[in-house]
Amino acid sequence: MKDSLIITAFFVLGLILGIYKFLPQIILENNFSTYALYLLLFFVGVTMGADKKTWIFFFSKSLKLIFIPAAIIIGSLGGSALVSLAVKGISVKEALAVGAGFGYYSLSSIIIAELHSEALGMTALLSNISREIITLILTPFFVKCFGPLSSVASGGATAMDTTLPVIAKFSGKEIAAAAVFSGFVLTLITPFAVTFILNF
Amino acid sequence: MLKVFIFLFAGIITGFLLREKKRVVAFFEKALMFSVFLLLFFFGAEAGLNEKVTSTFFSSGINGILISVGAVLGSILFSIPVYFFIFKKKEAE
Repeated sequence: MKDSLIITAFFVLGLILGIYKFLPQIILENNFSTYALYLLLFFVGVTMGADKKTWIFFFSKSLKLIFIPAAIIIGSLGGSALVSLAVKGISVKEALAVGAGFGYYSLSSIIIAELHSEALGMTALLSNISREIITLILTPFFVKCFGPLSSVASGGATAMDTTLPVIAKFSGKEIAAAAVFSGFVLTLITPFAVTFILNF
Repeated sequence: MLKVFIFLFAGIITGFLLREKKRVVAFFEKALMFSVFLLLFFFGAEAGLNEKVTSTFFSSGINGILISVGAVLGSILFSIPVYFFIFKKKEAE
């Protein structure tokens, strides 16, 4: 939760400085963010590759667990596409790219802002932050109405870190282990999925 | 697109090779946090400078929230049969 607040604070600070044009010329003229994105992707890869526990879990547990992130991917993309048909100003492809963030708002919004547009990046940021907030607030309700796995489904990529405490509390320990696995797979897939959809 | 994948894969392989070196991995985790802060600052600044973005802030926010509602409900819908397939069967055994 603390990290989420710091991340949002950095974005808001940049936003305010941008709106009031209170930025040094060097930032305005150079395309730093593209290089920084590549560096970020490398760092994301390193931390995922080094996550020994999850890889062991991945190979040792029943492969059936892969159905959990698979269902979340199909459900997220399907739901996002349906919404785009109902609302104005966003194409199916754009909605799919936003939905493919699976709640991983920092990385998905940065990639979308770089590869597509800042406007869609902003939509992705707000959308994926709200996915985390929806999960944090509505998990007790989801679990009661749709079963224990609904908390993991709602959390998406965040099920491995920020929303894990509420998932463990309301869905139990066994589901929490599955949540870490599912969140890990979705976190790993997010940058690939977003890039792939935008280039399709 | 290719560059994105190359950097990611290079990272995953590097991380896998370094998985026993806890200090190095911890350094990369810190570096990741820092680069996320930095990039979101840049993203914010670029969005703030772009009047097209600031003028549509409200509508893009609403669209974003609606998309996440759709994504959450879709995910939950598909998770229900998966729960019975994985967890309920195990209890019956």
